[in-house]
Amino acid sequence: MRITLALLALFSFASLSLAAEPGPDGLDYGDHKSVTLQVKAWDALGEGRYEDAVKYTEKCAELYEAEARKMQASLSAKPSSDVVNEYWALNDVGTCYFIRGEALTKLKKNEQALAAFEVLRDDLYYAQAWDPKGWYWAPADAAYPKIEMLEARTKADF
Amino acid sequence: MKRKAIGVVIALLLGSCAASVPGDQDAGPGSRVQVVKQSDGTFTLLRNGEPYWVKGAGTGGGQGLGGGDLELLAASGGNSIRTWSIEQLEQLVDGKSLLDRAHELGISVTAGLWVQHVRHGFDYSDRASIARQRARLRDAVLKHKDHPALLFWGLGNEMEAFEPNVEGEVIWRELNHLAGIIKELDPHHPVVTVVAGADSEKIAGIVKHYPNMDILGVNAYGSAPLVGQNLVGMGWTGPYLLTEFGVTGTWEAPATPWGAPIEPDPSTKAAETYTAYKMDRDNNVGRSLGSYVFFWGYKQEATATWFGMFLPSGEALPRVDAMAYAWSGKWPENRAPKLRELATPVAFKRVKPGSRSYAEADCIDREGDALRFVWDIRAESSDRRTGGDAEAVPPSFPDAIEEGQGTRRIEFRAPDRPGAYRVFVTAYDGQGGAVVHNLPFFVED
Repeated sequence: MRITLALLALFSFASLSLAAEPGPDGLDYGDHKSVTLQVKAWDALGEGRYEDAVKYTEKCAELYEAEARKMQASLSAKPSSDVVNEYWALNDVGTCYFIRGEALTKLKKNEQALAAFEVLRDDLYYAQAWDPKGWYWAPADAAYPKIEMLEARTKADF
Repeated sequence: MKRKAIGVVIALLLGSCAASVPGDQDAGPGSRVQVVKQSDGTFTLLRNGEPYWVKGAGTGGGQGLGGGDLELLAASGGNSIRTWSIEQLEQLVDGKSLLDRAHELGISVTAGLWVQHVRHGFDYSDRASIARQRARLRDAVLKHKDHPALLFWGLGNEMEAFEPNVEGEVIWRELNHLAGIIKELDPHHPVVTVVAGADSEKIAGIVKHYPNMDILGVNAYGSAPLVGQNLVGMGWTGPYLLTEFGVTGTWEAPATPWGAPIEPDPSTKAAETYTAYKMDRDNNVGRSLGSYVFFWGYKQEATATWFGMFLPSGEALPRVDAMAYAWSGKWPENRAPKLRELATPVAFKRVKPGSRSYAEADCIDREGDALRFVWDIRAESSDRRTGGDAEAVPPSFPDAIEEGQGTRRIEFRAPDRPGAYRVFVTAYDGQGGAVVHNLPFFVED
């Protein structure tokens, strides 16, 4: 727990040095924290800015995926709600992969969308996302039917 | 063929270790329906002695619902419908009740028996109200129990949901009593009770307080493909039906910053619906008894087009084709048009009152039928309800469309009144098929 808090503080400090500079792509990545990138990706998805949503998720993966994979590797089951926030990188990166899959589906880039959902299913399956309505949900569980649907679309003309 | 079927039935019965009620007593002219538990713990549904897999759709008119084409359901490979109330069964079309029309088409019916909800003002501590409800249910069962189209009794719909001040136990105990009444009057049709999604607490409550339930019905949308596996984890070992499924729910979809849920495009909706059906069927053999897609008809819920599989004028939308493909393995001869893209610069944006813009649809018809386009600028729904309760249709602004109505592209003006809106396009193929989609925008000073 102490190590996690120390890591969180370290990441927060590291994030400050990156803060508030628009990226070379013109996007505002805010303080570059994983949660910021995840929220910005959700917002972009809801505003129909699908390319932007993909970029936010890519940035989140670029900065935090290694840590997310370490957290995943340390687990043998989905973390319970009292410790779920300790797996912040796993949760944010996992959620970003879900958003990326959704945004790429909207952009009709089905193969890339499939690849994003497959990362969740195969590699980051203990990630959890907070629903503001008051509960956690598992992006990997939600990815299963998305994968099936995208595969169905390669075989049939819907 | 007949010998083979009899052989299958005998084999199933020999392999079974226990038959759930209803039993096989012979009385009355109606159908005989049984859920048979096999020795390996799986379940088989028998209707008049034949194995039966429910390929169904929720339908029926009234209560804000418009029923869809039953002949098309049968032609598409569907074999069952689900209703919510007895009044729906009794509505006459061309002098025939829904039950009679279904029977003529070889369609079975899960007959909904509406059980009152607390959120609609029903008081489960009021003995007189409870007695009246029990009497109404008794009358309905006696009236329809011998109809040959009857498959199951659908006792209650989502009664446990959206009721924060009610303990589930009160609901489960009363449902158990009502199911007992049904079984006493009609031992030949199992009782299904429908819940709004499943969770461990609900399942525990049902197992403890509602032993008379024969089949668990689960309404699920985004999670529909995973209902079967989730139920195992929650401790449900009985048979179940997916009693509503289809597209991602309005409450599950991404929303605009002003809270308008973003409706999936028609092809995605069709693919989602097909996938949910297929995953439930393929991954839950012996536990799922089948499913009812929602909604074979039209219904205003967030938008006029989210859940409905038909237009109010009767045209079939792409999800009807997808279910024909799911049920029969074949696409219908006439497909609904395919919308490849709906685009407008105002989509998801905030614009000034009266500002001018355009919208265009990239749409094809697979059979080459000429397409007719109808555009509509409509206010966002301000009458959002919970639990599928009837909602008012929001107003339309036909004068906002300045040019191009009837064609693939329109020029339009944003309404003068600030607020949330959607631009809708519907393309008709003139052969009974259509496709419809919308994009949201917001008007502000």
